[in-house]
Amino acid sequence: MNRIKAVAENTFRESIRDKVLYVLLFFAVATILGSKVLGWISIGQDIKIIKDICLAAMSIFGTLIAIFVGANLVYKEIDKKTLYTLLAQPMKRYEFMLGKYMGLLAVIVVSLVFMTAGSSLYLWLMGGALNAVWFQSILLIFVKLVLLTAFSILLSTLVSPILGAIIVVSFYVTGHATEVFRDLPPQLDGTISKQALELLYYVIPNLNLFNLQSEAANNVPVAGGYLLYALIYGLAWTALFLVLACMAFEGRDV
Amino acid sequence: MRKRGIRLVAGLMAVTLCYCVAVAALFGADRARTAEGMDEVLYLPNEKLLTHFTGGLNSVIADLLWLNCIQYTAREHHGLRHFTWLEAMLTTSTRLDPYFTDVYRLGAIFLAALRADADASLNLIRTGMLHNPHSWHLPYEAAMVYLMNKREEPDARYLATRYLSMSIATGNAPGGIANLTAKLQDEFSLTEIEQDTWKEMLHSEDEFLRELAQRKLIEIDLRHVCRIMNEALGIFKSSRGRPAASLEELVTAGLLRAIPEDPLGGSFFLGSDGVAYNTTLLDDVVNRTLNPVINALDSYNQQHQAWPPDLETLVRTGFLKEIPKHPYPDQHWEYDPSTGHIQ
Repeated sequence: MNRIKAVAENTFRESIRDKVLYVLLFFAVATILGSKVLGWISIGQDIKIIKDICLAAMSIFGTLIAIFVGANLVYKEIDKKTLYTLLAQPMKRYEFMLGKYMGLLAVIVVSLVFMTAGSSLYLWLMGGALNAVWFQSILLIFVKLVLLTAFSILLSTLVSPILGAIIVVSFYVTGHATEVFRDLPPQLDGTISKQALELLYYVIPNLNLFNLQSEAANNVPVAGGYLLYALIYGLAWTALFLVLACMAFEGRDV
Repeated sequence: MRKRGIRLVAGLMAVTLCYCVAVAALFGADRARTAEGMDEVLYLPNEKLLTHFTGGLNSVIADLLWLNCIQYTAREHHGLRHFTWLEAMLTTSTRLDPYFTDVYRLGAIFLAALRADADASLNLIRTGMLHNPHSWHLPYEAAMVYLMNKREEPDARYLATRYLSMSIATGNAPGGIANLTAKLQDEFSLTEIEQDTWKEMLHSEDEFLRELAQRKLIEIDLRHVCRIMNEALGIFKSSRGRPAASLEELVTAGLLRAIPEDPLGGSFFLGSDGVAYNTTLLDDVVNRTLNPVINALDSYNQQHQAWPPDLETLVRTGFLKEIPKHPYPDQHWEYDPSTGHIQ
């Protein structure tokens, strides 16, 4: 446990020195502050628009942080050959992977807390209500980022950072579109294609399950049961990706 | 040194030239885009598919589309006034964010008032009501479409009343809507709907609405008692061959157990026309009947800087269609031309 903690601390320290993180946070803050501009040209929907853009900024910039910082983590250690020094220590490979993951997750948590505090303060100053569904929506964005970070770590053990980033972006877009497989046109009824596509709905993680932005922006309450299921779903996929990442790293010839 | 100077000048000239070419191209592109500007919304993606491919940004895209819709509506309103793409834009926005009640509400107003398409407006509102059953705005807007845009239809007022009742049933509608609904409900004897809606309103967070609901439920009971009394009066007349002289006679004859008390402080009485009345209910009708007369008196006073000599003058000068009958039997309006006061 101490070894995982040591790797996590180092990863966190290393990641917060990354300039990409600050560039992304700068754009996130700029987007959040700029949301008021769109509100001006609406007919009294400025608070709704501010909420929408704040939540979208948290989701997108959080994902970009997971992609750009995460996809590079293990690859950089191999590329710079620092990994050999680490593996020569009495440390299991899975401990190294989990340490890396926890470190990156800490960066995500800090970034999200920063964006949440900024958005909430801005929304409050603009006269918006900070109700339960607002924070529930942020909680599910966090769960989504936890899952994406795990997927990003898995890819960093398998492919190059650029390819990894492309795959995670594709995964993000497809993950939000999986419901299309459940909502197929009637022309496909009774065909094998339909069965195969419906199966995909259960094979690809449904990231739209973590999307409560519309409910948060329109103050529509969310059932506690839904939150619980979404939480379990996110954590189950995260565990799956982490196990795969550890297995992939164990099998890697380094 | 001279060579370096020449190179610097040449470089600056090349940069300037490139910049000029870029600006010229920008002007050309802007002009080309303006020429094609009319068609900018000619293509809207299939909203069913679009919902799935927004990368989780459906709410933000709905906002942007709604903002574009406002601009489009304003442009069309000052231009051709065709509003061809209005419905598609509203449908797509609401499909992307089904809880965006302002789009349903304002979109319905745009469709009904600007494009004069009451059916499209009602379709949009009905979709909104399915997704937002607790919003009082949507049934209220549907009622307004029936009262304003479809008023020629024979059952328009009845349907408007039903929608207004649904609006009240949400428990969030303001008091003004509650009064309007009550008036229309009286017109159609929708007692059950009325009772249900006021019962719902008893759970409202607003104290005024709760008090109003309590009063309205008592008024419904009072109307019910009046109906029973009038039935008893009919039975008395047919069995005794003469009308009852008082309500107490109904109690003596065993047709009523007792004359009930009015919790709102009024009383029941038998009018000279042989009908049972309640003073609380009649006072309410008096107030409602008087309002248009008082408004007409005020309008007359503003225009002529004096009160009319009598109420008939209001009818003659077109401020009032007719003088309403006093709701109390055998009573007449008392009007004071020196103060404009009527009671």
